Amino acid sequence: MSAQTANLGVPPAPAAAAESEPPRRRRRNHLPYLLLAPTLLWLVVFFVVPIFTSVSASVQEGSLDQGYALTWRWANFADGWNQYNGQFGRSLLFAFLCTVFCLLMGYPLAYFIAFKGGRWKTLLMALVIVPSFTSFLIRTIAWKTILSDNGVIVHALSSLHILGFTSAIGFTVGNHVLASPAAVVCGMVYNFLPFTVLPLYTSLEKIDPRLHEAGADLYCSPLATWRRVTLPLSMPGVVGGTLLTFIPAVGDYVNAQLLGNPNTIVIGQSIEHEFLQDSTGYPIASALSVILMAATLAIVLVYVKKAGTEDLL
Amino acid sequence: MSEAARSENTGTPQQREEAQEQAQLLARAARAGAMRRTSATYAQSAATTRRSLLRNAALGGLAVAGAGSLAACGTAPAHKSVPATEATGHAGTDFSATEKVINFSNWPAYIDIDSNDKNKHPTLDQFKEQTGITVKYTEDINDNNEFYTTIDPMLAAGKDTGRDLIVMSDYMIPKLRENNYIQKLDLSNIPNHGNMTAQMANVPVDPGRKYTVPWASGFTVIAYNAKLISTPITSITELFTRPDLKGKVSLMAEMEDTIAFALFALGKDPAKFTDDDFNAAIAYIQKAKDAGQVRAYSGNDYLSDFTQGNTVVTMAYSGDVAALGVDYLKTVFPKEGSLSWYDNMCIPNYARHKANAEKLMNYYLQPKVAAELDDYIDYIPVVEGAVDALKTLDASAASNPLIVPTAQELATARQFMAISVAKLDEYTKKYLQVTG
Repeated sequence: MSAQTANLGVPPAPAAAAESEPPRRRRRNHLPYLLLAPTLLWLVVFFVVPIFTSVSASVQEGSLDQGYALTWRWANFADGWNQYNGQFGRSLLFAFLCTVFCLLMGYPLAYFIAFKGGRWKTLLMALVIVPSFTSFLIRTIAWKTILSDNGVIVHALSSLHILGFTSAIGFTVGNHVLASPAAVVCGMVYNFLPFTVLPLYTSLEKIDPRLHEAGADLYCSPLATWRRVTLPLSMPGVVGGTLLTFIPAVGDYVNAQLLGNPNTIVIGQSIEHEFLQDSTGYPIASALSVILMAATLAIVLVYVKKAGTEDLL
Repeated sequence: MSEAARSENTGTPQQREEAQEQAQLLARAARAGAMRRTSATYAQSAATTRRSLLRNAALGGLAVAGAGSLAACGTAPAHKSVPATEATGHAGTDFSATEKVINFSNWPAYIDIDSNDKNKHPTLDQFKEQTGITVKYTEDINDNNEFYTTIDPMLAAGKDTGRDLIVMSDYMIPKLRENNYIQKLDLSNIPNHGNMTAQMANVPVDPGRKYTVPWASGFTVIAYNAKLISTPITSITELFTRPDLKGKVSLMAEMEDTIAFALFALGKDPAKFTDDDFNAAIAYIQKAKDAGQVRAYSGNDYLSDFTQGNTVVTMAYSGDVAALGVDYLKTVFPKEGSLSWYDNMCIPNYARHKANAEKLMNYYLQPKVAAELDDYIDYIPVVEGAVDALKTLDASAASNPLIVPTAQELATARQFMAISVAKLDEYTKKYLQVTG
């Protein structure tokens, strides 16, 4: 393992040569930071500075036409929350449902590919990833055509009275699939599934199949082997996969925009709305973004702590 | 940064090696998108190293960003807004003489298209033949307010928007003028200025047409898909309340249009209403939204859902649906009334090709050109004599009520009340709360 990693561009620790060869220490000490510099610069310019501008904008007042002034108007946060708390709730709910469905669908899929895929493993994984080669937007718009109100699928679901049932429980509206909460969640699951499957597959694939045999030898049922051996070993994949799904899903607005209706508006759309439709809306939009970031961070921290994988963060 | 290095220097060489290997492992795992659980010792030592690294990196970032953020606090506009009466706009350097181009931003489906090549616009091609000026035509205006907010930051900062000519609806003109965002026209470049119809020549938003030239005029009406509903729709009330249309109705994202419709439905007059009427209209729209009646609040892209049959009934701009030429997509003048409006060409500040843009305005003010345009787009001509020219060009179009409205349609049509910019902003904000 260590022989391989040496080629991966990870700089050797500066301490390694320090004691035996003091003169070379200085030169080697700088290398890691030199290699880090582009990334740090990138982070400062495209992450740290925007965060500061965003936080700063969230306590400003004014309009684009008249200019903005930093007045420390904390009420932007209260205003934003009061006006859009429903959208926040909906975003979190949709992201949670999306994550759960992705996990329920992604785990068996990753398990199957990792343990039963055999020589087809690479091909099967490629099949999971290949759809992402087409633009996210185009794939979502394609669903609009596939699930069109006068399309085959909607007619079939309608004739089978499935839509009647889903409408009754509030998942769909009337006799159509598009422009409903169900369509939004399905679109999200479809778009984010590869993000769940990839980390799951990587962690499952690393598990030695002989551990399963050992489990069986020790009189564990297949289910118990999974629960006591496979699942704990695949937890990093589960945590990684759910995080990679949940975090972008909370901020996602494309699915709600294209597949939803005016009653499925999520916080991303509200931010966009404030930002693009209202020339006085920058502070509220920024305040909403800051609240969203803080909420996501809090949820992720609690989740990671509960999931017991401190070594991940 | 040095603390990170120091923490790696502690411990026995063996531990150091382990920590190092662990760091490499994690880097590799991260690259592969995997997160691998490791033994507690490894995890702990690696975590310490990484945490201190992260902490130091964050502190360094904070110091740099802190300095930058002070500068970033607050933005000042390049120029203070002036009262509309004094506004002349801010001219940039005019490159018209050397660059024979016009960057023209317009709404989708709002210009004639060659029947053989949909990227060709005959009226623009004729203009090029006559003047040698190439028009770079872009259909990037989907919604007045959205487009305004897009160009606003550039105009407020005193920068060129990259556009020489834009088409904005009537009610946006006072806002553009109050902020001094559009330029006063040089009428010597527009000898056909007198060709406008009497109604269009003197509009409240721009008396004497010193800043804008009309492009076309039309109505906001209802359109429905006759294949998908058996009972034709005739009124706005049905749009908001008919149960069989639940989740199949598209309203306009544009405040002016949808509020006018709600006012009509409530028996009020969009040309003359009070704040209470406005609030009642908002409540009426909210009720329809809560009931699940509304499928979408759309910009000019309402046509895509409508032609796919996803929306059965939609608010529509009068010419759009007729221009599609599909016989089961019907346009209806609702019995309560329809909103009448006009769209205007104007030149934003710092446009590079102002004189060229004025030449194009002048070109479209010719009756024959206007007739050719309106024959295709099915909107009402804004040029005197265009209707006569239309009769020789296409007799059937001249009897089309969308292009030449009858007395009956004109009787129920209303213009939106002229409101102050502050009122417009207040109304727009309230309306945004219903749509988003």
